[in-house]
Amino acid sequence: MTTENTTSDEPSGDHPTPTPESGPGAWGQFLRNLRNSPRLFRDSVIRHGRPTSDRAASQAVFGNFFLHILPTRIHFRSLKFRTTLGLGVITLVLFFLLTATGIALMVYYKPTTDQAYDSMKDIQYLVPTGRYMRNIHRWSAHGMVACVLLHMARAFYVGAYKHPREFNWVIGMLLFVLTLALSFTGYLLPWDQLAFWAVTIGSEIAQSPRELTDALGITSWFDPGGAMKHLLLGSNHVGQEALSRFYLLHVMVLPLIMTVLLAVHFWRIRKDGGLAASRESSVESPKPDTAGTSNAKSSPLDSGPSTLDPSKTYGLMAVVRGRTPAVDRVMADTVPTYPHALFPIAALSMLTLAVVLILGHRIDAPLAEMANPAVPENPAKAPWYFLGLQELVSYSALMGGVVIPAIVVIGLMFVPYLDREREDIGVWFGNRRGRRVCVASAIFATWIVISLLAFTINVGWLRDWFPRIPQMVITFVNPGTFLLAVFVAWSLGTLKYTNSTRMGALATFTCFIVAFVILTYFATVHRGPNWHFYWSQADWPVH
Amino acid sequence: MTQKRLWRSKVLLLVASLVVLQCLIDAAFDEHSTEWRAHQEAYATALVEKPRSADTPAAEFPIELRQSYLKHLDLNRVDRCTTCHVGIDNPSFKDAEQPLTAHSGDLLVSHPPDRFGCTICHEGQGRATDKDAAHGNVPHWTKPLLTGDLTQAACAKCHHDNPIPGAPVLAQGRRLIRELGCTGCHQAGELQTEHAVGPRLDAIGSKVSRRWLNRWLQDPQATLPGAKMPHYGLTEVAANALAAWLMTFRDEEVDSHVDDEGDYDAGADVYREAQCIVCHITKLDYADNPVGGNIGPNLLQLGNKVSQSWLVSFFRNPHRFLPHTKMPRYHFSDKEALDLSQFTYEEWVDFDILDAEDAAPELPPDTPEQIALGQRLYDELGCAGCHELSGTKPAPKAPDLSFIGSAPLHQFSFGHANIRRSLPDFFYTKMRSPELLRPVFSPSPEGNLAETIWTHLRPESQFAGTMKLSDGPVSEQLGAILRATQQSGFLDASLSIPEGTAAAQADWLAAHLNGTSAFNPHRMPDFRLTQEEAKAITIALMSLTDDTVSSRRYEVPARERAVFNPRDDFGRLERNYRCLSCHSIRDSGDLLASDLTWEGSRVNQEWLYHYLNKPYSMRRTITLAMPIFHFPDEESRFMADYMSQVFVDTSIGADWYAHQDQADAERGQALFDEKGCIACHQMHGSGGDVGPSLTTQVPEFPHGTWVGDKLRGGWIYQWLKNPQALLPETIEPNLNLSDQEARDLTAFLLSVKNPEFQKTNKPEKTTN
Repeated sequence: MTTENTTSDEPSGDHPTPTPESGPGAWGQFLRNLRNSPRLFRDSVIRHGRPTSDRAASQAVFGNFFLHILPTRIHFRSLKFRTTLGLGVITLVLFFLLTATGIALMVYYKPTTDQAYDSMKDIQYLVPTGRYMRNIHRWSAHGMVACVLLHMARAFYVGAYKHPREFNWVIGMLLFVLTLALSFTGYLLPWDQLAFWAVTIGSEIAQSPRELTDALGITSWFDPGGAMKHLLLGSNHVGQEALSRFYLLHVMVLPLIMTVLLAVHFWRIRKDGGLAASRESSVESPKPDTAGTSNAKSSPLDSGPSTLDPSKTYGLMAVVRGRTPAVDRVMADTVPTYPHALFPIAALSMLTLAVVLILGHRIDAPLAEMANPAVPENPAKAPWYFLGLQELVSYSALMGGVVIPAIVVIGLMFVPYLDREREDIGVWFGNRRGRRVCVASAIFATWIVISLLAFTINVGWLRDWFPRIPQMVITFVNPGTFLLAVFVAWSLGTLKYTNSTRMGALATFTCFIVAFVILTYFATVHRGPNWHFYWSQADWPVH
Repeated sequence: MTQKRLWRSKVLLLVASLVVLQCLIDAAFDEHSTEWRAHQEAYATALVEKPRSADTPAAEFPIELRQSYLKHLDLNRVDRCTTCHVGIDNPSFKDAEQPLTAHSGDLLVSHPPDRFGCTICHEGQGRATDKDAAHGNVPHWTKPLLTGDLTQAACAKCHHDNPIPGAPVLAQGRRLIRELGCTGCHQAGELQTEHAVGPRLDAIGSKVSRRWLNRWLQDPQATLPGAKMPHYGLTEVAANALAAWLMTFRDEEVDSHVDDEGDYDAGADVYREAQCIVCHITKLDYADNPVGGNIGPNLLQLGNKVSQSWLVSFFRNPHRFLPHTKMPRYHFSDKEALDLSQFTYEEWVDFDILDAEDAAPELPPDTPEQIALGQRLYDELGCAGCHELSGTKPAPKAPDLSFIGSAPLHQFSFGHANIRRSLPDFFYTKMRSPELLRPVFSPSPEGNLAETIWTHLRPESQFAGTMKLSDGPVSEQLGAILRATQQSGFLDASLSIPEGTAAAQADWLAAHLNGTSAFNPHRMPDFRLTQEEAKAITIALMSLTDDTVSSRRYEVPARERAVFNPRDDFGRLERNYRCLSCHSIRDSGDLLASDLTWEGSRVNQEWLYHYLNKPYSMRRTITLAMPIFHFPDEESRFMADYMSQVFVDTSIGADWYAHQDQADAERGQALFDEKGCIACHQMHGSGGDVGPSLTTQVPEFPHGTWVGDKLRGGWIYQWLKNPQALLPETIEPNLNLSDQEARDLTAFLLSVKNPEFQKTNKPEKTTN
């Protein structure tokens, strides 16, 4: 049942042509229009009426600039919370929060070295709700990094990177790197001791290729490390140039790139047929994806090929149930986006907002003493998401800071091209075998990482036994590279043992995630001044 | 199924929205119900009852954030303290409760908040708007609020005077730093003393008794209460070694008097005339309270400390031994010096101590090792920071205090001390309880325990030549360390290592060694300061800051101070007799005796000459007066002449000299009776003794003079007109006399002359 405007005596949007001889007619018309103008206005904004019918519901989504990235109908399996945990939505909401609070903060923040810290104090103590804005911004940032990691894990474990979604996985990895970059550039802006020294360390890691070029003796004419550090800082040390650069990156360049890539990310989700679900078939598509053509076989539930194929990428406006011959059982598995997807999305967004607001109210973002180049923090720790990296950097700056992260990121980007099995997409861990592989990899990774850490702390490493060993050897043979090699061996071994690239991929990713978590925890809790091992902060030497 | 899910998400949306709404309301509420708003509202309410003046009613008081924005005035700060402390410059809020209380004193008149802000004196976090953050009592703010007397430390940022007016505790602290000789080891910028504050030790072996020296080195304050020398915590062995070395410094001239004997009774007479009691404690009253002055040391145990031969040399010429002492060089003849030394040596001695020393076992003879150890101790403990002694190295340098008040907090090692991490707390604790801040050495569990302890001791000083531990079990090595440290005096000889594991034994040994100076060669000694003294020194240290203001609008340069130190004959005499030990001339000297700045305008030259020859007390009730130096006649003549011509201000009494013919002594006498001067000034035997006597009739001083003999007319006139202008601290009331009354009274007083004095003296020439 469609509802049309029946309250006025004319169809909505129509105006009678004024005839020259209808003077009182025009006046009366004018008055009637004036009286109706609120309703007319409403109907000009919401053109489809109340979405009580499927058609109106579809129109509500399709006709709205902001919502039309969503399909008008959505498969009910995409709505299953346990599949996605809503992490993508949460991440996006956090990004919006960050943008909004970021803009608010930009009103008062001053990006010069002599004013930055004071402006932070002013925001905290003077500006009405300044404290909240800053806290929300900080907790949203931490939350976004965490959610991006979890979202990546979810996408991986569900197999959502598989064909045809390889490219989207790559875009997602780029977004991940961008998120970390945004967080890192923002970290410097308060210009306190925490910020200054964290970025100093970051810039020194950027310079770490010198480890190699120095050992080879070629630094004087080939110095990518120094070039990278200079590019980052605009100077030899962290100062006004670095602050200006990081500010520019943080408020304009990276958010712009992020927005564009996000748009591409969502576009690709639509074009690749929505969220990955096990209804996808296991055969690779023969042709590249073009709108309107079938690029995948129908689901096992299908009786055969159909024109109403669920992987088609244009939207249906309405489904007429019942007595036509074109009824397809698969389509019946979809529900209108409004309200079945929009309400959960709205609820999750509001929930995220509520959690962040509560955190922002209760827990203040830290602000240490003003940046002082003469007084290094000891230990000077990177933000938490980089601490696992910092632990690896403590073994070798080049390997831990540049090479291993690059290998991990690029390696992860490559996974969809190496694992093209199509079974069990859309289910966590795929199947029982997958679960076993993940558990085994987790146990293995835990054991090997903890053993390695215990070994390096109690026994030592190469330089403790061979003090004159060349640096190049340490660069290539250190706990970081050791872990990398072990994990690669384990993954390839799993691949061969289970005779499945998916299992190999699962093993790789699980090892990476477990190592990341353990190393991050370890560097957070058990590393103290001079990066020595301590059981807890209470044991640190006092001053 | 989907409906149920939809319904669930709608419920979740509702609940989450309500939570968000609540959070937003909370945020709005927080913004509205800030601490400062409540204070300002209380102030606005109180303002209605207490307007600034009776005529103007209280205007509408806007509730808003307030700040002193001082970035442009070179102070580079923004202070929001007045957001809560709204009543700070409203005098009618003197008795209000904090934070509405008005500022104490009238400092805000000269230091208005809109030009100075608040944090320049009070520190704290000016940009904050809630109490704890603003007072700096939050992590990551290293300059917490200074309250009360501590703010006096900030005066030095702009004021370069000494002393700074209105900062008495700061002045006390600076004075203590100079007196206690801190700058002997520490650099302290403008507080540097020119010479060592302790006595020169060159003749110490001939001067003191060995037993006394041992006692003194172990605990100076127990030997002499109020001693300036700090406590070094030396064990008996260490003190004995140091004393052994010090006793090798002898003086030939002193030793030559060893067998001389003087006359006790004659010495008593000399003592009485020398008036030692003016500067020294020399007796106890009926209740055993000490009696005497405190310019010089307490002499009641003199005989226990010094040798008589030294006293002989000392009385002849104190300045040879103590070039910077305040003690004058009396004109004792050799016999008088000898007699006086006999008297003082026998009179001022504590027999209980003597008996205890006799009963104690004989000290073993000093070995060369002990003497060598003593010398090493002298060098390392930094005795040279306070004492001069020929042939010794300068004291080891202690931390530079020149800008210690603005040193970054991380430079200070708080260790495990349970005190707030701030500069004032550190300084105060260092002064009062330095052992809390002493770095503690603990042997780490890995490695060779004994070796670790051994290498962390001070091998180059104590164990030179025995630097290596022998190989063997750890417990043996620990035992060797214990013996070595006992022999060198760091540890009590009665200790022995308890049974237990090597680690436990090492801990025990380390704990004991931590309690001495074994691990920390330059540990600061304990001055046994009172709380008040420690606080004053803290304030003085905080004032040594490089946080000065470079804007000339704020700087207050030092007042020019007149220092009396002439290079002429008078100066030579002053240095000999140390007049400035008691008298003040201009801004130099002491306030114990009268101010001599305008002595020439004050007194008649003849009187002055006779007085110098035979000083006497100005009041019946006080028997002490200037010591009788027995100046040679030409010296007293010269001094009277000099002072009468040089210490003159011609403007004093100019009006008297111009109009003295209009004065009437009879009217003056009537005024004298009417105004009741006799209540404080006795005359001819009757009257009060608050002020100086107007007629001295003391038999010992036959030349006792009366006011007309002593004072000059111009002075009397000026004095009567306004006593405080000539002597600010006098209690003589200003009677607001008219010029004529003052002239009459002056004429009367000038008529009060002792005919006997007039007979023996030439009439006074009125010089003008």
